[in-house]
Amino acid sequence: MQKLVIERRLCLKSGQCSYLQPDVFQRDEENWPVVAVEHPKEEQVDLANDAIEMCPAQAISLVEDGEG
Amino acid sequence: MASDFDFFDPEFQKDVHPHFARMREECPMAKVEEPFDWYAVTREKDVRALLHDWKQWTSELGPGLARSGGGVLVSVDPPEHTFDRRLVNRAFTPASLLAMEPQITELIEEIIDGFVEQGEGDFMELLAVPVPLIVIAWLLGLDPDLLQQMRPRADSVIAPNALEQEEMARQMAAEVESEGRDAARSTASRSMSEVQYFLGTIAERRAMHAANEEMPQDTLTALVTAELNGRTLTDDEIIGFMGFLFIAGSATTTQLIGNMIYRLLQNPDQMELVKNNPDLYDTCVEESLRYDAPVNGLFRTAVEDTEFLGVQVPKDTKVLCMFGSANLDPEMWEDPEKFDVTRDYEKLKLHYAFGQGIHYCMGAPLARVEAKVALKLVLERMPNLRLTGEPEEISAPVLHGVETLPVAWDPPSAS
Repeated sequence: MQKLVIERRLCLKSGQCSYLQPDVFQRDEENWPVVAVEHPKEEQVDLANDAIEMCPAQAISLVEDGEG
Repeated sequence: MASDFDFFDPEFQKDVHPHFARMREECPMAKVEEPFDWYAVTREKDVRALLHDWKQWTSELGPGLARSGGGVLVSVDPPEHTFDRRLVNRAFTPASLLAMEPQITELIEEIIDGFVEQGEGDFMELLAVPVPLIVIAWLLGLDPDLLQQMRPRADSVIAPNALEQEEMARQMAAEVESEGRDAARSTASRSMSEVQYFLGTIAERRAMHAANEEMPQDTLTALVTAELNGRTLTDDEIIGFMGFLFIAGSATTTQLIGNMIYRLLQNPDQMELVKNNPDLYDTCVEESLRYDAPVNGLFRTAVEDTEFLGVQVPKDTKVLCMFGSANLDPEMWEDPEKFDVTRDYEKLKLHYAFGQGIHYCMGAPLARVEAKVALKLVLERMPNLRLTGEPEEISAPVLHGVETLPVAWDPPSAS
């Protein structure tokens, strides 16, 4: 199963992910992005990939989750 | 309450830091009444709040004081913005911009080859101006020499001098009042020669596309071939993009490179640190962006009557989000007035020089690469770099930096 991860170390708070794909990403009070759907369902993977491509910091990735 | 803050005052330009500090402390939502009422917001948390709330604080009337949008990216909100951003992003992904590093290195090496024996000159003219212009010309499929000739006009769009800007703002205000937003938007100025040149280039590219020829992998190709939801871009829209990228991508990065070198020359201890630690190049670029944001700030406009920091703000009022001041707010930064290339990189990169939120600068990765490579090669190839005179401050109120930077260095033949 794939897991959606945001690397805080790289994040620039551009807000692109939560703005483009609000169903998959949200923001906390300090405008840091938060993954809303940790394990995106099949139909959400495209949405996640869109945000991954658009992120100016290249801080988002889908990784294989051993637990799944 | 009206403030005595004067964005158009050359004294403000000369030394922005103390002005920012006073505004943050005494008047975080400073009212300016010239040429019509607008506000400047200077604290980090307030700048952040405005930038992230694009529904309440629109970009549709443009990022400047003049109420006119260019119609692309900086001047639109979703859904148009989403379309635009996706489009440009295809040819402008962080990965593709970062991949230009070797090409940019070669370019800067060549430029330095051309002047290094001189031993002295104006750093801006020699290096800081041509590098970003040539890189943006590559991306747009344009001739760097021709683009260079157009430079003054491009600068005047993003950064007219204070009086021009005031006059433009007055005219725009009158137009908005008499004819509404759309009329004001369509008068966005652009020179005819520039338009004709761009049109010719677009036509050539369209012909290549029609003939199924192999096309260069650049931003122009992406614009010409773009299709999203069955829609392609008109010439007018492509010109809008080209003009925008040309302006957004050249003068700003020129200021970044100039500011960084100037600040290092003023802080020899920091210069030594960077010279001896290539690991600090990235941090040095970020610290320069924080300490001397090339764009002082950009505007947002209230979409309806609202209240901010206890101040009643009428619909269509412009509010300046002062990036340069947010970057120095002691609430966010430790010892903010110290230029320190050893700051923690992870925290440092959250400065506001590229904005924040949905309009975050798309060209940021490119600007960062250009500045880093320039820094590296200047340190390596222009030893004993020193100031030989007083730099001239840039006169444009939106930009922060120098117009000239007279320097000398030890040419290779001297050693």
